[in-house]
Amino acid sequence: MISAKDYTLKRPHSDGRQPSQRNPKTVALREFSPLLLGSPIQLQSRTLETTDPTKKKQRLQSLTDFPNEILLNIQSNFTQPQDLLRFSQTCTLLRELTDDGAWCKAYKGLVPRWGEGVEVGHLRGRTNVWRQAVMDDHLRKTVSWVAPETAETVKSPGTLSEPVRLRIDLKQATHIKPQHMQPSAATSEASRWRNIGPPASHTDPTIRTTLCAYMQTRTYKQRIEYQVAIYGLQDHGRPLATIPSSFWARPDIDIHLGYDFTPERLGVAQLMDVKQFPDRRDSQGRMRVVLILAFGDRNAAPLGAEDGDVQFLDTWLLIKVVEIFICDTLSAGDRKIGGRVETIVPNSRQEHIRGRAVRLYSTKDENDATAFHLEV
Amino acid sequence: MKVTLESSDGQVFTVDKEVAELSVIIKEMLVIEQANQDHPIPLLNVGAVELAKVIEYCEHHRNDPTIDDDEDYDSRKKPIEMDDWDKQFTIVNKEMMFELILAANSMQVKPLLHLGCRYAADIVKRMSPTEIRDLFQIDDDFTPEEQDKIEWEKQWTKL
Repeated sequence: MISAKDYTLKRPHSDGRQPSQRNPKTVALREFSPLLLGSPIQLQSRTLETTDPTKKKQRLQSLTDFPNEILLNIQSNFTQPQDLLRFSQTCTLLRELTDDGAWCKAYKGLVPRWGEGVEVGHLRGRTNVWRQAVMDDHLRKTVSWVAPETAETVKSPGTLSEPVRLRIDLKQATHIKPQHMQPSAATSEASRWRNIGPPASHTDPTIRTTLCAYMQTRTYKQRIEYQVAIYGLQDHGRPLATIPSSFWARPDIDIHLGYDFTPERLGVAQLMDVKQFPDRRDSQGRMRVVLILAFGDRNAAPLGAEDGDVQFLDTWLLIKVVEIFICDTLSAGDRKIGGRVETIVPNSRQEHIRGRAVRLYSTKDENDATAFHLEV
Repeated sequence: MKVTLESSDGQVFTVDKEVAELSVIIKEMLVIEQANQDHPIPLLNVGAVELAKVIEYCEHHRNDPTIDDDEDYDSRKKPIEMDDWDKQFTIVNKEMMFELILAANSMQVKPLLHLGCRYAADIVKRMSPTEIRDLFQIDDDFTPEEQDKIEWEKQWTKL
């Protein structure tokens, strides 16, 4: 553990000598302090002491010679995630100082609306969730960023020259149609499963695996059925888990919350985010996964009527945060899932959630209960 | 009212009390040592050059509102404001600014400390870890395992 250096001032004249007794050598101050000339500062003595080794000031040899509080102050000036990341990649001291608390502060600075009030003191030194959150947020905004190759094909660090970028050649693209979405899976009374909206994915850099999830739907005469299929990439054929709507939908309750899952509603649904937590497993070894599902109306009303601009926005009426534990390897055994669902009704909070991108962060409160935070 | 300050190398400076009191440490010492105000206040970690610069800064900012004693200071919440004078003031070499940061930290002249830290951060921004190490003489003390993680971070973020 690196501790801050002691820079406290000593009491005046603790050695019992007056300044004049301790100043054997005289130099011209003009030599090194031209700024003093003409200033209102009154110079009384032009002496320089060199004989007392206890008073000799050590010059800094390195940035890491600074006390920790100064390094943290310097660090707090980094407003861009990449600056903070590079700073943390310099040496072990700066990496230790750039802990998850620092990343959380960075996140709060970058996304103040959603970062405000989030406490992560309990996470300090334990995980890198905020670093991941900040970098993930940054990279998603970086248009040119492409996910790197999987761990198996990454060259050893010693041979890395230029990071390899994935290139997609559409001529060689393969149309992916998971088995359960084949026409044969459809029944006479229901349409076949189809994807709704874009998939959500999450890559965990520590175990270097990517989960990809799709919201899917099929329509019956009287109702719509949803499910979420989760794949462990690169296998797009066999889902690790399929989460049926019966797991999260409670029509009897949801209709009182302002949403009902009927075709007449003509609502929209979207899988907003998925996140895996490889280090969080239940007693059966299943991995924790959190999903966000959003349900709402397609709103054709103008956002600002006086402007005359008609904007089509999805106003989300119901947010479902689904916490499940799934087997993260394909196995022929029991594929049962377990977990819980939290329903958020934005309107009840006097909030209106619009937009296509929702990010999820979960934190623990003092009672070790999970609190969810969304970003639209 | 005047206050006398003595640098680590024995230089003595006399400044207005309100100027000296921009240093939290000196302000507290003046309260405690009311009876001994005839004696210079020794600043054992601050050389004459740096003390002169600190005083120059305090003279210019003597009428500024005081900064709250916020130990959990984060510039992202309250960015330090720099006027033209401050920008001129920071036109010094790296070593000098580092000494000033230490002096400001030692004397607890918080606006100057934040200004110096911003200066240091501005130097570091956009530098690669190797460039930071070279410029500030930092040893690369990562273990091979840590290096592996960092390489992966670089690979992942393209930074």
